[in-house]
Amino acid sequence: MGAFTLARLIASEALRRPRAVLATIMLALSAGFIILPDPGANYATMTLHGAPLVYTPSVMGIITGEMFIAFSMVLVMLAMSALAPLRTWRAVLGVASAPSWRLALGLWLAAFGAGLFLLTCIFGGALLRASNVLNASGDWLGGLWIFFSWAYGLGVVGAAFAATLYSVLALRLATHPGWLMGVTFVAFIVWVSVFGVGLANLFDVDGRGFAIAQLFPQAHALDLGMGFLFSSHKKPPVHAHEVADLISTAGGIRFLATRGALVVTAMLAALALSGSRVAPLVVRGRNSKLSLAKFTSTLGARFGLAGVIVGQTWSLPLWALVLLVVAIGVETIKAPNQLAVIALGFAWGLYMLRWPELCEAFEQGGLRSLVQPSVMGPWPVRIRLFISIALQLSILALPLTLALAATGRVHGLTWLAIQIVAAPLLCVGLARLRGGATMFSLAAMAWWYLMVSGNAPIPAG
Amino acid sequence: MLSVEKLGRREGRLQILHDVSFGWERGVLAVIGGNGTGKTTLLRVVAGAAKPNAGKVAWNGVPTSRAVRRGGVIGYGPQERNLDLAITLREFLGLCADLRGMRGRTDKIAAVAEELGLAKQLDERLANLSGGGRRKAMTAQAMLGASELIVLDEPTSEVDYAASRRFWAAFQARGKSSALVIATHDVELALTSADSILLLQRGLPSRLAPASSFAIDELSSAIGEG
Repeated sequence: MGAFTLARLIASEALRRPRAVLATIMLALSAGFIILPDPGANYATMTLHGAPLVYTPSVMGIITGEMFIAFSMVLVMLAMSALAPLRTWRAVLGVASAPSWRLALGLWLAAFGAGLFLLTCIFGGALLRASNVLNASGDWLGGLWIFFSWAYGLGVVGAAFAATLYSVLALRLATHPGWLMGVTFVAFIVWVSVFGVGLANLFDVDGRGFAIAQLFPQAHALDLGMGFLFSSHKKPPVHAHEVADLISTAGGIRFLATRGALVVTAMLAALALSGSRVAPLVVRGRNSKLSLAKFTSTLGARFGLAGVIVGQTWSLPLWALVLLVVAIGVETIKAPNQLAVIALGFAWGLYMLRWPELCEAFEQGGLRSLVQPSVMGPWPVRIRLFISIALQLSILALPLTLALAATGRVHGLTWLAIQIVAAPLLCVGLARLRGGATMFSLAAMAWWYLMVSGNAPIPAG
Repeated sequence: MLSVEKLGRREGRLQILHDVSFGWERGVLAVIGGNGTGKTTLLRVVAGAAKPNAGKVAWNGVPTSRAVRRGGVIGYGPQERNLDLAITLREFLGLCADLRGMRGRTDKIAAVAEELGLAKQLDERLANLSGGGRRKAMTAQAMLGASELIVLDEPTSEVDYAASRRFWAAFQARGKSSALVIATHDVELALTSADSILLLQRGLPSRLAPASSFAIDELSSAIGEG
């Protein structure tokens, strides 16, 4: 009973925040446009044995469902951050004096609903892009139903597991935004690379084997790549089999039953992982021995405002810094190669995830109050913020810069310079807007995706 | 019966509470002390929100960290009042009642709103409430239903004087059937409304005695000495 009330109130809370709902719809639509291929484009990214597919309503539905599964972790976490402010809800849950499993169930239901809402928006985006596919099928409504059944039949699993991640993290890490974003990021990488690709045949969480078997009985699961992470090559076309909607397809009901079982498993996992009873918030902060906060604040104090900005950015748990060092290491070793771009994207993605917090701190006066005694006003702060971000990005990109300079690749250097200037401009510009942090997150993730997917390679020459 | 025996609590390297012992069965116990003397930490442990590093804190023989798991035994209103949500006060109280598995939530919400004078604010969104209004909301959720032990951390700070008086009158009335442990800086109201006062100094209980045995000057100088 309490769990349903919690889920209902989170939903009604979200509906009373129209800007947040709008931002979420925009997030989903943008994600839909980023992750889905253009059916009318002269290239295709979904391949079979080295050849792209000719789209049909079922293929589009499969792409929508699969790509939602791939991105569900990040999408649901970002959407819920806007729709249901975690720290505030955590404050309420702390005094609710209820068993954790009940809270986890309420949060899971709310996040699962948000996941389906996102899937609906992405579905809408896909529908706009795929309208020519539906028209070409001759039966618009029939095509729509085929599209719908595949997209939701596959996508529902992503929504369920993303809800599990959200509900557990919201209870445990709501008051540690750095950890929250970091864990989400790592879970996303694990989800995509391990479940989405490595173990697709073994666990078949997203139904790739089933989907491909319906379209191409002879296919191998790894052939379905959208240019994401492990396959970015453009290939000549091949026709897919026409298949009916998921329910009419042989084995479809059994497939849906297994998806239902996975959804229930995800929900039970959330209850099992909900942990000990949620205690009320401790007002006083605690310094962990492993935290860099103390070190960075001591160091930052020596460098004035610039030091404070760097300190706020890097007061991350140590493991996040280790990941960053690994990414920069790969970049250094593989500098002119595709892997270097992926490493750069990874390093910048990790770094950019901190910026929404910094933007918010800035706009809410956290940083501004530091300079008020000097009567500097916001513009000097903005300029310093810009310089600080650009400098830090330059350091992250240094191995790549040196490699490009050594090989005389002027276009590559320009490509890098534009990013170093554009990122802080976007950050400082959006920090002035309400909801700017969410927009920055979205832009940062979009750019991150383009880099790690190989869709934003270093230009030749 | 609340029994606190040789309670010690450490936060990191800081020893906040040392060797705190007292018992409380029914009525209003006001915990008074200067800033940073360990009132909030003591209340968190008493409410079962944190475990002691040393000693025991129990309600009717059951450690409070376990007693809190049983719905309706302990109500806790912490200092935190980050309630920047668009849900209404009525929805917030309804959520707390549902999550605790309480029955007849409509009656319970109406009763606590009447008791604390919040009936007119029930349909206001939490985000629109003033600081004092949010403090009242936190107090109301702690007093929802008939908890045996109610622990309130500065329930009347930011609350206007008239509401503070009403709150203390409500605490007195609740004290007839429940045990209330209330940290407060409202020394004058505590002197007139509490049954006993526990004076904390540097994490140590310096005196526990009936409120009538304290003088305001004595409390004032004790708080000043910290």
